[in-house]
Amino acid sequence: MIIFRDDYRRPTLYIFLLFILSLGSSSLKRFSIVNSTLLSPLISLFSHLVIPLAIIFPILLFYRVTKNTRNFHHNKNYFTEFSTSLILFFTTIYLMKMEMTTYNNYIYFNFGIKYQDIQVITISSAISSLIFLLPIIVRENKYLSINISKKIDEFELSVKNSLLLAFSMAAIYLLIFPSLLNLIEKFHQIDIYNQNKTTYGNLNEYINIAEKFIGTNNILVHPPQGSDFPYIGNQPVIRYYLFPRILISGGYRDSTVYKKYDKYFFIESTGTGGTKWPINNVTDREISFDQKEYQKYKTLTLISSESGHFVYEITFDK
Amino acid sequence: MIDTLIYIILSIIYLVVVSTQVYFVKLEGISIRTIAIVFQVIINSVIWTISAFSFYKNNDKTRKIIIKRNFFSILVILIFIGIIGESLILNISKKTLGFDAIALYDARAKFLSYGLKFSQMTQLTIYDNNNSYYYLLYPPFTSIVHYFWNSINLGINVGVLYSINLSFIGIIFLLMALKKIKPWIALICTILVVSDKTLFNLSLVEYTNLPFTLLIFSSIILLSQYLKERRRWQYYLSCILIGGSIWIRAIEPIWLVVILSLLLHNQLDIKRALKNLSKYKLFLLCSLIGFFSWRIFVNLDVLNQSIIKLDIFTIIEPVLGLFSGSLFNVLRVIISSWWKYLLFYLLTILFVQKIKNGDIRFLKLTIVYSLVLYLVIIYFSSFVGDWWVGVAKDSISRSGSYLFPLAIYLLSYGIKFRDNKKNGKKSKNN
Repeated sequence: MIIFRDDYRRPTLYIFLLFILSLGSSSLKRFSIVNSTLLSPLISLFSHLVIPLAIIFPILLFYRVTKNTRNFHHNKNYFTEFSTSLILFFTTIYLMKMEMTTYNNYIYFNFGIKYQDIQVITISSAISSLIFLLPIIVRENKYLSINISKKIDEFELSVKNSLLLAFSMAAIYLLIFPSLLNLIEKFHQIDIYNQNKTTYGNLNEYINIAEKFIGTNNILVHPPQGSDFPYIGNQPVIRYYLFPRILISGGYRDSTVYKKYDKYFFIESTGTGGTKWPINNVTDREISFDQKEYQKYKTLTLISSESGHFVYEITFDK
Repeated sequence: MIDTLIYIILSIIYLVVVSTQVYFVKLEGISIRTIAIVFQVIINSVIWTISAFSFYKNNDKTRKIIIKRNFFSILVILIFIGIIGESLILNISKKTLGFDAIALYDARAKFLSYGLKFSQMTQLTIYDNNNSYYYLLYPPFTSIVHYFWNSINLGINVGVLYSINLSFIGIIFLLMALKKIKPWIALICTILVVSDKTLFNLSLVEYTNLPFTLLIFSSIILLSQYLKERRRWQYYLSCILIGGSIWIRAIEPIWLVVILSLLLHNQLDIKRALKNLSKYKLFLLCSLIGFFSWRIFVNLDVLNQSIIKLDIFTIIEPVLGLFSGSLFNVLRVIISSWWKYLLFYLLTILFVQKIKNGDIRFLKLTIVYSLVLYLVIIYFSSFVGDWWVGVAKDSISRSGSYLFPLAIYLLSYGIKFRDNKKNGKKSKNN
C-alpha cells in the first residue's frame, strides 16, 4: 500500500523489477552462489506476485491517469509504463523462444519460473501495452476521436473498491486461463476417452480373463486392497464388471468363509511392488491370501495359463 | 417471462428428484426405514402445489429477457453452445465412466437392473474387510437416474445427462443474473461459469457433484432473491430444492451453512437470529427432513456399526493439534492447491463487505461459512488418515464447485452498489 500511495503511476516498472529480481535470484540459485534454501521461498513469492500485479496495475493506472489529466499520453510516467510493459513483453517472448529452441523445462530449470506463468505474463504485458497504445491511436486520429475520459467518469468507485475490483478481476483472469487451456486440452484428449474399457492399470486384462474362465455362479478370491493392488484389489470396482459372481477379498480375515462353498477360483497376480499373490506353499499344501495366515487346501488345479495369467480352482476341507 | 422460465426449469428438475424418491419407496416398500422419505415426498408435493398457486398470483410478468441481438451477444451464445457441445461430444465418444461411477453410482444402477434392492446391497460386501456398507455411503439419486437411462436403452452414454446438467447450470445462472445484472455482464459471467475448469471437468465424470451443484446453487440464489423481492414461490421452491440436494449428496452439511447464514443475514445478533428461526422454520424443516430421510434408512441397518468411530481421542487430538502446528500444515496444503479460487473468493467478500443489503450479506456469509466448513472437515480428517491430502486437493474442490458461480454472481451484483461518496450522491440501487 505504501508503494501505491506515492508511486501508483509507475506500476509496471515495479513488476519489471520484481520479474528481474526473481530471474536474478533463481539464476543465483542455479549457479549455487547463494544457499538455495534461503532463496526458494523468495523465488516462489516473486513468481506468484508478478502475475496478478502484471494484470491489475496497468488497468488501474490507466483508470487513474485518464481520469486526472486530459493529455495524459504526454505524461512522462505514461511512457515509462508503456516502455516497461513492452520490454517485459519482449523479454518473456524471448524466454519462451529459448524454451522452444533448447529443451523442455529450460525456463524452470534455469530461472525457477513455470512455463505457464511466463505465458500469463506475456499475455498480460501484451494487454497492458495495448491498453496504453489504444488511446494514442484513438486520440491522435481525427476520424476515431472518442471522448474516453467522459465515459470513464461515469463509473464511480472509491479507491479501495476499485482496487478490490481490479484485484478480483485479476483473480478471475487467473482462473480463466487454466480453464481455457483445459477446454483445449480436453478436446485433444478425445482419443483417450475413445479407448475401449478402462485405463486403470491391469484391470482390463484381469476382468477379461475372469469373465472368460470363471462362470457367473462361481466364487472369485481377489487380492487384498492396498497400494500393491490399487484396482484389482478394490472389490467395488471389480464387482462392477463381474457382478453376479461372489467376491471374497484376500484381506478378509475370517477363514471360515472357505468352508462354506465347494470350490473357489483365483487368478495369480503380481502387484505394483513386484509382490506375488497369493503365496502358495506347494510342499505343505498351504496357501495364504492375505500374505500372513496360511491354510491347508485339498486340491489345486490350473485351469488356464493364457497369456501369462494363471487361473486356478481351489477346494478346501470342510 | 424470466420468472416463468426459472419456475418451469426448476420444477422439472425437482420432478426428476421426486420421481427417483417415489421409485425408491416403491422398490423398498413402505416401512419404518422409508417412512421419512414418504413424508418428504408428501410434504414437498404440498409445498410445490402451494408454490404453484403463489407463482400464479405473484410472479413478475413485466420482467422480460432483454438481450440485444447484436454481434456480441450472438458470439457469446455461440461460445456457450460450443462449450456445451464439446462436453457432449466428449461424453458421447467416451467408453468408460469415471472411477467413482464404476465403483458406486453406475454399479448400483447395474445391481438395480438385476433386481436387487438398496437394502440388499450391504449383503454384497460381507466378504470384504475394507468396504462394508460402501454401497449405502451415498444417497441413491444418481444410481436411480442411471438405471432409468439404461432401461430406456438409447445406446448413448449416460454421461450425456451430465452435459445437459452443465447447460442447466449455465441457463439458470443466466436467468438469475439477468434479473439483477446488465445483460452483457450476465452473458460474460455465464461463459465464465460454464467454462470453469472444475465445473467443466465435472461434466465429464458421472459423479454426484454436478447435480448437487445445480440444486444447491439454484436454492441459494433463489433464497437470496427472495430476501430482496419477497415473492413466496421463490422461498417455497428454494425449500424444496435444498431437501432435494441432500437426496443427491449427504456427506457435507451445506444445508447447515445455508441455514446459519439465513439466520444471521441481518445482523450478528442472537435475538435477531431467533426471530429469523421462527420466520424461516419451513426451510429448516425441509432440510432436516432431507437430512434424516436418508440417514434413517442407512442407520436402521447399520445401527450398531458406526462408520467413523468416535472416542475421546478423536476430539482431543485435533484440539492439541491447534498448538502443534497441524492447522498450519492443513492450511498450507489447502492454499497451495486452491489459492486461485481462494483469492477470488476473498476479494469478492472484501468487495461486498460494506454493503448492508440482506441478500448480499446472505450470499457473502454462505461463501464464508462454506469455506470455514471445508477447513474444519479437512482439519478433522487430517487426524483420521493419510487420505486427507487427496481430499484437500481434489474432493473439496469438486464438492465446493457451487461456490464459484455464487461468487461470480455476488461480485457482478455487488458492482451495482458502487459507492459515490466523493460526489455526495446516493446510488439508485441503495
